[in-house]
Amino acid sequence: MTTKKKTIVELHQDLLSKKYSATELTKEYYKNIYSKKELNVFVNLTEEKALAAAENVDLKLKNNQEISLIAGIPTALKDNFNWIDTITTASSKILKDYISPYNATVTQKLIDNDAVILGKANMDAFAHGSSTETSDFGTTLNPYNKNNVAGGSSGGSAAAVAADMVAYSIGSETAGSVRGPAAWCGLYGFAPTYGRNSRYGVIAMGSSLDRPGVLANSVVDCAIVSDIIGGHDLKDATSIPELKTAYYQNLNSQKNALKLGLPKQFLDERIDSEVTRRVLEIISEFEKLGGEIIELDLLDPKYSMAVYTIICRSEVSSNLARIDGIRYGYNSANVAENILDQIALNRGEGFGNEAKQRSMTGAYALSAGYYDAYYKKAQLVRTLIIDDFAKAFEKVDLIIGPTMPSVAAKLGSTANNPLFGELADLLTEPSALAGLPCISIPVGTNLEGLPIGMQIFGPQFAEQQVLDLAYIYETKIAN
Amino acid sequence: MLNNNFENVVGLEIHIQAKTKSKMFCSCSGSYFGAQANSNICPVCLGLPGALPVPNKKALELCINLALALNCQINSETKFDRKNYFYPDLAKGYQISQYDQPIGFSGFLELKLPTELESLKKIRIRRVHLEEDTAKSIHEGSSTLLDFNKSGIPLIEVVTEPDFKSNKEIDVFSKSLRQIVRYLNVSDADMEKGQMRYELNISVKKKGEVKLPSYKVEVKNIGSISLLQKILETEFIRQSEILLAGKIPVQETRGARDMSGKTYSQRVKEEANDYRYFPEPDIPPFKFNAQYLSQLKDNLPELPTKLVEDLVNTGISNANAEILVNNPNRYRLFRHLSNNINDKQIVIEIAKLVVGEFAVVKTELKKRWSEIKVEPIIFRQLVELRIENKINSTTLKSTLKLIVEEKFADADELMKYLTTENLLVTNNDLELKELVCNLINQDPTAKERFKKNPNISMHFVGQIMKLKKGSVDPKTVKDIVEELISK
Amino acid sequence: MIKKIIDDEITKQVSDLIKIKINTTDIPKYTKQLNTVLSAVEVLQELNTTNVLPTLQTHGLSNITRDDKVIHGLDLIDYKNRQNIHGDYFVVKKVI
Repeated sequence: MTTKKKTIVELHQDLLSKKYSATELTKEYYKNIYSKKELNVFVNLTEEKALAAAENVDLKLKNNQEISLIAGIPTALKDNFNWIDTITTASSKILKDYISPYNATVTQKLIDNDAVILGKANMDAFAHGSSTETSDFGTTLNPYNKNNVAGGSSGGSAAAVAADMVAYSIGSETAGSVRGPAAWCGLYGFAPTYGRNSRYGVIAMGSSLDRPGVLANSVVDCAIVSDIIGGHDLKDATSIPELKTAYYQNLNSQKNALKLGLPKQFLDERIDSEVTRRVLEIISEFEKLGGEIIELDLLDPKYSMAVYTIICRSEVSSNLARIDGIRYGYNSANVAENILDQIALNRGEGFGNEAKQRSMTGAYALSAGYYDAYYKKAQLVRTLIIDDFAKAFEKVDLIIGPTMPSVAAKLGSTANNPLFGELADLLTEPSALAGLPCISIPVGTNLEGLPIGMQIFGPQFAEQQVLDLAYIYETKIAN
Repeated sequence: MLNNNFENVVGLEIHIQAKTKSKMFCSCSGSYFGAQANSNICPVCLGLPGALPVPNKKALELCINLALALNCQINSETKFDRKNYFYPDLAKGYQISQYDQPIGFSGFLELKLPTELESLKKIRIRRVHLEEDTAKSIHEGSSTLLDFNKSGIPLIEVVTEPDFKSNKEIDVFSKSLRQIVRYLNVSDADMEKGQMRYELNISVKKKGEVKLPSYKVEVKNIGSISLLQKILETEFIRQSEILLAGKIPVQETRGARDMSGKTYSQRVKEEANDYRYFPEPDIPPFKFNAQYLSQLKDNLPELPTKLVEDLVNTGISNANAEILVNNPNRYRLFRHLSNNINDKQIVIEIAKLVVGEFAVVKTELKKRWSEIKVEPIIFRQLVELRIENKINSTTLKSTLKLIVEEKFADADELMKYLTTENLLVTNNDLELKELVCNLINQDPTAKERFKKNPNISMHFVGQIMKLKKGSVDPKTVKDIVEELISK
Repeated sequence: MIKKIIDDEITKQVSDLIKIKINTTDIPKYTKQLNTVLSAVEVLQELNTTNVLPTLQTHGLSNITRDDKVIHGLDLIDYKNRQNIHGDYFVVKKVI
């Protein structure tokens, strides 16, 4: 049995044709996990629960009951998704013992479809980063090269798929936290329009930006999973009203004659030359198939980076305020005289450097006297960025370009830069601020063998178009 | 002692717990009084990581209704904002409230003051907005016990301009507001249960001075109106004394520790609290169109002042109308009993009874107005008998008690009872005159004694009543006795 | 170019405001980080935003509410994060 780069579709077929059982499949994936522990992919493994879920699927198969496409297929949940009676840490020491009493909506949907969740994947603590180096439980290494990081903040989710520890995984994107690690680990990483996937139960980072997403070995898998985990949720007031999507059913690789926008700001000197070269090669393949490439002149991404930095940190400073150690979370061994001082101790010791720095920056940006110059200004520029895209989409159907300015960063190289995350996400922040549907597709590797990713994003609710173009790549260009 | 050169500048902030089935941002129960601690919680109101708020539709409507009843303008575009601060009873480390776009603003409440100076005083309402309550804190020694049942209960906040000049105005205002709130079904407004809470903003200025003072003192957590009034008095004295000494009172938050009205500075609690308000990203904004607002306005329950007006128009006395309307449950009982009755005389009589005899019966039976169940048809029968003078007042009261105790299945049973017990006034004048004559004749000194003391007649009335019980009307008997005894 | 926008005193004030205790020796480190970030975002002042409305949310939704119904939530007895639970209450030190 091999699990190497197996897709959901293949695995589902294998289970139906009884090539092996779900239990055998699960055990095989766990073998991979245990043989590559040094990659530091998981915060917690949930073997008992996983095997119980697999057994349940095998029972259904035995009784010839119909099963979901993802039933019995191992996956990983980024550790910011609440899963009942399971430790959910967001890779932070402050939540290292927090046992969720409830399921995130996405978690519930996976369970309802008999997914087999092997464990909680490592991430940057509270999603504050693009490399998992801010995790309190160690950095996740890149399966392609252990001297490099897997990326972040969904680094564990990406590495889990790339190292064949799971068939697909669930991550979350705020700036480029699904696209980025997908690019650095040679995967497809998809996040639909903000609001398509419920945020209920996902530990909040930037509330107006967070979106659950999927990382997988194929576009088809991204479509299948997204149809399952998405849809309107009464518990999330910002969720789009549409009850169900049919991305998988409607996948279409025939629409070649699209107008594809290429922002010149996405190919300038800030981008690694190998990345640029490879992406341009793939773009010319799209052209050969009938696509029309139109150069775009967009607002420089440095503005998006600044807007993202302010808005995200402001929301973070408020979202993390609920973690005071009283109802859950780390309690300092040092005893303070009163509860407010105790709270300060709990948070001071429990939070890592990044969480503290971002909370402070965000609080400053929201404080009296500075609100207008920072938070309010950022919201105004956010409108400019959204309008900029609206104008662009009058000329083009989709926008393409490199996902990240470089390939996977070297371990330790990001240490002294408090803005590393934002700089790495330079090319994903603009579309993140507008909540646009986006995907990163694996377009090969550089000379060192490190994966290069290319991104496609479209106007709001254009998930099908985005997936379709990626599907054209997967079926007609990729080899 | 009081310096007459100064006067109060007082504003009120009132927090009202909205009477909804569920909480403001989650589906936990909205009534927790008497429940076991922490039995009414969920990820949202407990502030668990990942939980999200979804606004309660009913709470929104109740807030808009109250704002309309307070003559406010309604913001056609409104939203929620986060008020960030740390306190153990604040689960999320921020309260979801409203900052710069409250649901209602620039309203007023007219007070009917029983003085010759200002019979109608307008108190301006600065804003009416919606927010969530915090958890309950119980202080025990060096610890605080936290009960999150109260966390997330919907609160409507009403803020007035500093228009109050006297305790009397505050008294009338608080009663009016409470009445409106109860009539709109916004809240039961029971202060003892914490359903309605007052905060005071007080400053003092020289009489005649137009400019508002440069400072203001906030007093929070006031448990009753009488305590509020005491605080007003003591603060007036305290602040006046500081001003007399040529200084300015410190702008701060103060609190009461007992019922004396004395306040203490809470400056230590009130740290530099920059609330860092920003729009709540988890809740989409609200846009009310004119159609929606006029629909709510049309469906607004009638307000007490209008109800009193309507009652007076049907012929009920102003005094009785005010009493009936004062308690919404009493008023509802009256409406229930007088429903569909076109005969004005009957309606007026029902009103009299609900004001009078009913109150006595209610007290005797230890019931609340909301607990009284009376069949209107049976009651109407009783009222008609009363109007026709077929039952006397003693019979009326005792029978009413039986009706409230639900002893009669229908009007027929009532009639049967009255007939069997000989309680229907027959007033056979001839028979009565004969009886009275006999009694007087049996007492030779009666007429003499009557000339000296007319009250003697009551002795005979009493004797006749004992004999004839409910079948005679005491007034008729008295008239006959006095007629015959003075002959 | 890292501008000195805030100093150690402000860093201390902000950390007090958001209840995160930072050791005195670490404060300069955070001041530097904060200044790096705040300097980087100054670039926004280059853009003209007169007559622009702020974007609060991107989904375009409005008037989202839920029906006033009761749904059972959590049972404290099943709640597993019990470090401060005594009996039916969460118990903490007094505020002052």
